[in-house]
Amino acid sequence: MFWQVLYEGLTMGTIYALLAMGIALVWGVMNILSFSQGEFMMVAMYITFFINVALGWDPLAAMPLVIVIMFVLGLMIYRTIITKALKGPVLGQRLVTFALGMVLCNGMILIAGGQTKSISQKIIHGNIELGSVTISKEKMVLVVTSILVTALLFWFMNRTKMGKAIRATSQDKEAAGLVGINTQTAYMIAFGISAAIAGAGGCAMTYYYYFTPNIGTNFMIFGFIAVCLGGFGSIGGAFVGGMIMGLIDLFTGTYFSVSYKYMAISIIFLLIVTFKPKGLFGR
Amino acid sequence: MKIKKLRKLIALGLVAAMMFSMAGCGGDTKEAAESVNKQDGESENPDTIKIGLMVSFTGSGVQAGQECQALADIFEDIINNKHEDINLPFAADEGLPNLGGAKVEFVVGDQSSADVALSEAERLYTEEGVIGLCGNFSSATTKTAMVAAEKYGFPIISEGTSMTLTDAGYNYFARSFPGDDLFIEDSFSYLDYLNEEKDAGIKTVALVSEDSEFGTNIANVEKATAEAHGYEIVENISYNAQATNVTSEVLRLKQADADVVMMSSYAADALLFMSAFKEQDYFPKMLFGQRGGFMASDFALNLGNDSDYVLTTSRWNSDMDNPAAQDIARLFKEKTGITLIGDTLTSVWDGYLLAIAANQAGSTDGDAIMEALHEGLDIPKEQDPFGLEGYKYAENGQNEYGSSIIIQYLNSELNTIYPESIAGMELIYPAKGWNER
Amino acid sequence: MRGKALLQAEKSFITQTGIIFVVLALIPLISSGEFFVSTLCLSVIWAIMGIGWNIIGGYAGQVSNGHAMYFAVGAYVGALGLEWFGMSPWITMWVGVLLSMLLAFLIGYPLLRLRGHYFAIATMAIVECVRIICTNWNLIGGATGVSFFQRDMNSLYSLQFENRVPFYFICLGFMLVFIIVSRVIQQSKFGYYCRAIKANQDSAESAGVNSTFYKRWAYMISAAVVSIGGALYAQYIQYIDPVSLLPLSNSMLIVLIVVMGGIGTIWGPVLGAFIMTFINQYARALFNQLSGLNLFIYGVLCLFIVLFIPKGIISLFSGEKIKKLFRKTASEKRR
Repeated sequence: MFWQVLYEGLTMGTIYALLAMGIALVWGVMNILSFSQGEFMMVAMYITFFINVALGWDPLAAMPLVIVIMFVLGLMIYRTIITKALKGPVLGQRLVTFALGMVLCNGMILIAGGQTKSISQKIIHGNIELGSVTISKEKMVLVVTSILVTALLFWFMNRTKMGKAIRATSQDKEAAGLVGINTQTAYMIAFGISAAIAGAGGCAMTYYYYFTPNIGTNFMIFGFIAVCLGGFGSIGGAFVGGMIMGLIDLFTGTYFSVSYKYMAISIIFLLIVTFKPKGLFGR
Repeated sequence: MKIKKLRKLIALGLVAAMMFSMAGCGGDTKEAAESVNKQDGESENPDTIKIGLMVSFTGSGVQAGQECQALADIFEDIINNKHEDINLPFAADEGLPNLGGAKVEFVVGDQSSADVALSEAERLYTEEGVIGLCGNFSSATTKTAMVAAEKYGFPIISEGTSMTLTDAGYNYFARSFPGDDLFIEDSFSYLDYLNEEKDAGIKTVALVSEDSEFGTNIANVEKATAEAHGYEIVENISYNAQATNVTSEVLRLKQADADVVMMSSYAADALLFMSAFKEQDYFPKMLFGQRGGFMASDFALNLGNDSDYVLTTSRWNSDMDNPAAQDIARLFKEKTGITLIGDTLTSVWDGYLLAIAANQAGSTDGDAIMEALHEGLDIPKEQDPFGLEGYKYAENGQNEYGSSIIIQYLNSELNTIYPESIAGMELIYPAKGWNER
Repeated sequence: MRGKALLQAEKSFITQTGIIFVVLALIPLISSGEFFVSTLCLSVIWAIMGIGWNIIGGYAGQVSNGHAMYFAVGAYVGALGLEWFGMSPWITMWVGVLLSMLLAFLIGYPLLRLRGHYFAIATMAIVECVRIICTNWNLIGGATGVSFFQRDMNSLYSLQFENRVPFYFICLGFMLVFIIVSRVIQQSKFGYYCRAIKANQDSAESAGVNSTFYKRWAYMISAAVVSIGGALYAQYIQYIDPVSLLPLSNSMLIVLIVVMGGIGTIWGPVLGAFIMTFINQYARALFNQLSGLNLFIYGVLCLFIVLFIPKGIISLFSGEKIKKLFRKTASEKRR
């Protein structure tokens, strides 16, 4: 039982981490608290679903396409909405993403209806019995995706020119501009990537979750808490924060009380920020 | 400078126009509403009577709401036009005979949250002039809609199952089908019956319920009833319906390994539970749902054969051997392509009952309709899709003849298994594990 | 010189307030459609909550996304007082105020040290905790909520009226009080220090402003005002449960209202509340054929207002002749 809970906790952690990394990127680079990240994920799930219905592609096969579509969508949203919002106050930026989330959620209800959807045929399915631990292959897809996305993101941010430019911009926008970095492009790419992360996450999540247009909001607050736990803007921190949350979620739920598991997450979060107001790894 | 001024002027004009039009529109429609509401016996009969249909525009109830709207369109057509071949009241004539052939129109309102339900109930009555409300209310939204109903004196037939509704002493509340107490009493009586007749050997029960008003009430009743019937409760879980995962819940259930897992859930979380059951390679010997998500159309549609062996209580099922039921099920399938489920039918049928009551009373007045409901509605049994003994509402609003059935999924279809007189299938117990399917 | 200008400003504020309230009070006499008056009531209640939030969010710049908590405290205390002891909301709302201020004091202690997004997220997390506690605490109704529909009590005592118009006037009275409170705070040294903290906390501190003290008091006053809004709301809706009181959307709606109307201004929250509530209520009626359309349109509108009128709708009315123009618009737009 213990090992099962530990495994499930880590699995859930990777799901929270997938969401949190997108939020952390936008937060770290352009200091926006993105309320629409959960909805981006939802949109990606529906794109995967539509591709599956129209072309019969498995979510895994569709993933690159979904990521590209979401990246472009992210760029478009950045160009039309976020650039404009960045000129306004911080609070306005936050509310813009909140309103955007509302538009995406209800827009999807208009397009696809409120019916719960799912992908019926998946390439990978079934369980593996490993001693006392049951491992669901569907969930493994999520875990692998999450780890791959994190690794790729690390590589991108630390090894590529664009990634370094984004990091420089997030540390000091003026200085980055002075050394010849196009900060506008850096912002745009960062926002696109965060949408693309949601694309990968949403796509993988169709493997396990049934989804309605409302699914995004359920995850949102936990994404925020994961980012805060790790420390602002730090991608590694967001990943660890997500993991911690997954473990708290499963352990309190299984051994203590299901009703209070989300409260446990919130309280531990509040305790941590009380003593470390910038998160566990905050600078 | 000039542009600035222009902008100001435009903004001003817009705001002024908005307030004006709303105030105006409030005034006009109110008069219209009054003229409709002022129907007493002597005055001329109205051309159309409106019935409020409250559904969810947003949130988890959207799908159920859309199904209700589709069914309401079908009912409008049946009542308002001549349909010789359909076995329902008013199908053979046009409109309501005792109200001078008045046509019926369903007007849609939103009830996605409690405060919205109050505003919309007020709007539907005062602005649209509905004679009463029906819809897929929850108990919580019924309570706020009742505030308006009691204030203005119009009937609400709601299938909110909480006992708090019948205990509250509302004058204008009516419920055609059982409340939680009866549904759950029937469920446990059924377990007793299985133990006695079929030697099922059911001893332990695990309770799982979502933590809002709907699930919590059911859990409380379940706990009391299980104890009264002598079943041991090995696990009692209350979870949040917006949960991102229910893995811990399922792990606990797996460990408790009860003979029967009784659940009350909405659609999305019921599905989440099913995938968590599958992922943990666990399926209870008997999974007994209490309506809600377990009989939403989404359930079988998404799960396919994975939905097999799940039981749920219900009010109606499409396999009922009843001409009226078959007619409605066929018409609905033709229109939407979805199999009609009991919750949708009951929600809109309540509106039909309002029309029948108004017709019987010969009036659209709230008190007259309530009187007709209390006296009992006169519906020929072959024209009642539910085949109930009758519709006679007690003082607390409960229909004395409301009854429940128990259904089970097999091959992703719902089959009636209890009461045996109308059963289309034998219960399959214990359910097969995931590997054996 | 300065005193004279101040007096002038006071005078014009008083006339402004007078005109707006007279107009608001006259509306139900001109058009008394029940739904219209209900919407007016809701608008005023949300306006009160907006005014409350504006004190901490607008003046002191601490963006709380968790004011639904104080809203719920006010509603619960009012509801339970009436249900358990038959106490009039006129009394219990002040109990709610005290409780809210106490809570705000305790919560503010660790939270107000947080900056920026951290504060917002921490307040959200606290609301989540409160929602779970309320859901599982059977003593206060738990998930079943509190239903307190009173038929036998005197309307003025229980604040539950057959007709919405008297209730509207009572809400309006409260709004007037809080508009004055808001104005007094804005004009006082307290408000000045709050704005200094909002502009730059570090430099305010180095100039000797005790930022913790001012932030805490702004937070407590704000909580108190919102709690009164909650008490009024409870009597408006007459049934409360955690699901309808404590969702994130309620906290966000309070913020939206203030930002739409004009953050940090006196009349902004009022204007925002009226516009948003009316759009919300009437969009639902107008677009009831397609699920989701009403909130879609609502969302698009919010998006446009925040993007293109970042200082709020009230900024459209300002200019050099702010007062003159505002007086004119106030009487024009609500006729």
